[in-house]
Formats: sequence, structure tokens, C-alpha cells
Amino acid sequence: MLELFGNYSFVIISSYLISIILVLVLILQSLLSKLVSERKLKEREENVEKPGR
Amino acid sequence: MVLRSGSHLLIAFTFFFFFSVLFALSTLGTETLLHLIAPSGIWISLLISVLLTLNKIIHQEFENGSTDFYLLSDFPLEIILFFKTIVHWITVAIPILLIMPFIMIALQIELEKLFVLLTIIFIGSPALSFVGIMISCLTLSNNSSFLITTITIPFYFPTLLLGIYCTNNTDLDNMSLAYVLLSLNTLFTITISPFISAYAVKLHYS
Amino acid sequence: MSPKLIDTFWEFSNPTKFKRLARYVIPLSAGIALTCIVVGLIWGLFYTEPDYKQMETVKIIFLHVPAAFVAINTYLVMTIASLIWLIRRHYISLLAAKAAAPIGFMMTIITIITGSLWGSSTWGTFWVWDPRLTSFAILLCFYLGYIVLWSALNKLETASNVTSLFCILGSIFALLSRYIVFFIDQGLHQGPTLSLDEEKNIDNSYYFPLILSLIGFSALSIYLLFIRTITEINIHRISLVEKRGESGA
Repeated sequence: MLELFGNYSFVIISSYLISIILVLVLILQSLLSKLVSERKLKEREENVEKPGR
Repeated sequence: MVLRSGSHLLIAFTFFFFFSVLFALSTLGTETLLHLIAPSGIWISLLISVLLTLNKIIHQEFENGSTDFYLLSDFPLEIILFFKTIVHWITVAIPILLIMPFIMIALQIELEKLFVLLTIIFIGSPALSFVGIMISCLTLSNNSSFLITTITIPFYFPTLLLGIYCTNNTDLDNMSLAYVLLSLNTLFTITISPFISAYAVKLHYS
Repeated sequence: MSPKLIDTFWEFSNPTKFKRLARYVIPLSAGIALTCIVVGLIWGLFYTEPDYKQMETVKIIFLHVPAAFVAINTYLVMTIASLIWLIRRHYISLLAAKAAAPIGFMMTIITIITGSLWGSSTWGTFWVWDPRLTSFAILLCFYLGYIVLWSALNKLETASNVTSLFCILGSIFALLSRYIVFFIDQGLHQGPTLSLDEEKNIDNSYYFPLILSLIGFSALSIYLLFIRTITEINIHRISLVEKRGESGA
């Protein structure tokens, strides 16, 4: 595995891995915060509208 | 005004002195090293002393209500802010420039170069005040000097880079272009700073 | 652009219409991003010949260049969005600028990490203060300043004008510093990878996977931008609803 790209395979594999991990972290964080905010918004809107009407 | 700013002049002096001493000490007295970093050290000390006196100018006036008064008066805010910045430059940068020769001698800068360096710093330093006032007008709503310091430093890159380039290479042939660029940088900041600061202050009140 | 098209563009300043647009854009950009990145990277990683000078390390280009491209263009998008906020006061554009900052920050970090790994094998050091590297460090400073400013002034009313002015001024000063850095030193870094001039362009075998991963990264950033903007809109709505609840009770 480590000899896949000649002498520099460590550099190549590590840079690919780091980038993919960072991008995945960003995507997951975005999706999670979106989910959390949507759930929270629904909750709040129900809370406000029930006693109001 | 000038009298009232006496205390912050003292602070600026002290910071300038401390940072120059720090730079000198950080070389552990190695003369060749000191030779190399002395001009940069002077620039950075000047930058930090200007930076730390910034929030005194705009924020104090904002808190004691002078800014409301300026907005109500017929005089354009741009001109008021322009003169305010000039006053800041005269009360902070000029006194430091006056004591700078002595510190430069202590930092082992040759006497022949001294006048050139002082001229370069004289040309470059208004940009520090003007950019600083511009950014501190942006942060009127939050007067922590920590925040101002953090977000102003990136805006000092052009001035600092050009200034240090000029002071480090006083004997190069193509220096005239660098001098022109440094003066253009100063002129550019002088032109945009009052307008943007006034715009920011008005936005804050609207 | 015809005036009708411009009108339809401004319609998306309405949150509901924006969300309707997002319903189409999100799956589309996600699909494009996924296919292009996977195909581009696998093509680049396994099916290209090693460069005769840089050997295998040239394969980092398929990450490095797209990430740098996205990092710079995200700042451009932020600047335009801030300008729209200051001129037309559509708060979606402000929230889009806020949402774009972490994307650009992350992409800058990816650029710097892949670049320094690449440099470690070809130049022998992880970092030199070469003009291009310095400009990326400066870009990183401006992203950090923008994010710090948002977190320090967490209320939308106070932060909006400040952050957008910071962003616009930042783009001016970042460009200025970039040209000054190039004036001071020419540097080690190779020239621009993609240019319109045919002869300067890189070899065709690298060209197609690179273009694919460029498209993929751009689509990825659009996808993330939409998702994050919707999150910011939701957070803004929550604060509005809470305010209404307090005043009603």
C-alpha cells in the first residue's frame, strides 16, 4: 500500500486523507447544524403559536 | 485635546520603548542579528504603540456623546474624522518619531542611514493612523481593545510590508519605485479612511 | 442581462423563494460534486503518468489547485454578498456571506496543508515565505478576522454592517498586500496552473482530471453554501420567533 506511488506515497496519501477528512468534517458540521436548527425552529414555532391562538 | 491626550501619549511612548528593548534583547546582544532586525523591530514597535492608543480616540468620544454632537452639527463628518486622525498621528506618531533617533542609535543603526530611515517612517506612519481609525470606527458597538487589535492587524500588512522593505533595502537601485509605492499607499489610506469611517459611524446610528 | 432576468435574481432575496431554489440546487450540486470529485480524484490518483520532474507528487495538484480556487472565490462571493447587503439590504445575502466564511477558511487550510506536504517533497521545506504562500497566509488572516468579528458581535443587528464593511475592505487590502508581496519577491512557486494561453497550460493528461475536480470542488462549495445559508436563516428565524414570544407573553 505504502509503495503505491513510489517514494512519495506517504506525502500523497496523507495529503489526500487530510483533505478528505477536513471536507467531511465541514460537510457533517453543516448538515448537523442544519438539522438542529430546523428541529429547533419547528419546536419554537409550535410553542409560540399554541398559546397565541 | 492635545493636553487631554497626554496620558495616552505616555502609554504610546512606553510601549514603543518596551518593544524596542524587547527586540534588542531578543537578539541577546548579537550585533549582526540586531543589525538585520532593527528596522523591522522599530516598525513593529511603532505599529503596536499606534494600535494600542486607537480605542482612546473614537471610543471615548462615542461614549461621552461627542459623536452625537458631530452628527447633529452641519459640518461634514468626513472632515471632522480626517482632522481627528491627523491629531492622532501628530500626538502619537510624531513624538515617537522624535525620540526614534536615540533608540535607533541604541539599536546599532548607522548614523548615515538614520535620516533616510526617519524619512521613510515619516512617510509611512500616517497610513497606520488612518487605517487604525477606519477600523476602530467599524467596531463602535464593541469597545474591547482586544477585538480592535485583532481585526486591525491584517489591514496593516500593506503598510508594514512596504515600510519594512524600504527600511531594509536603503541602498538598492530600484528603491525609488518602493518609495513611490509607500507614499501611494499612505495617500490611498488618507483618501479612503475618512469616507469609510464616516460611513461606518452613520450606519451605526441609522 | 435583460431586466427581467435581473428581477428574477432579486426575487431570491425572499426567504421562501430562496428555499424553493435551494430545493433544486442542493441535490443537483451535491450530485455534481460527488461524481466530479470521485471521478476526478480517482482518475488523477491512479490513471495519470508521474511527471518527469516532480515524480508522483504532482498528483497533489488535483487537491491543491481546486482548493485554492475555491478559497479565493469564496472570499469574492463574500465580498459581493456584503456589497448587496450594504446597498440593497437583503438579509439573505448577509447570511450567505456569514455562511461562506467557514467554507473558505477550511479550503484555505486544505490548500496550505496540501501545499506544504507537496513542498516538503519537492522543495525540501514545508513552508517558505514565498509570495504565493504569503498571500495565502494573508487570506487566512482575513478569514480569521471575519469569523472572529462575527463571534464577537453575535447579534445580527450590530454585526451586519460591521462584518460586511470588514469583508469589503478586507478584499481591497488583501489584494493590495498580494501585489506588494509580489513586488517584493518573485519566489519559488511555479506560475499559474491554468491560463488561457495554450502554450503555458499544463499537459492534457493532467488537464481533464484537474478540470473535473475543479468543477467538483466548486459544486461542493455551492452545496455547502446553500446548506449553511439555510441554517443561518433558520437560526435568524428562531431568534425572531423568540422575540415575538417574549413580547407576546
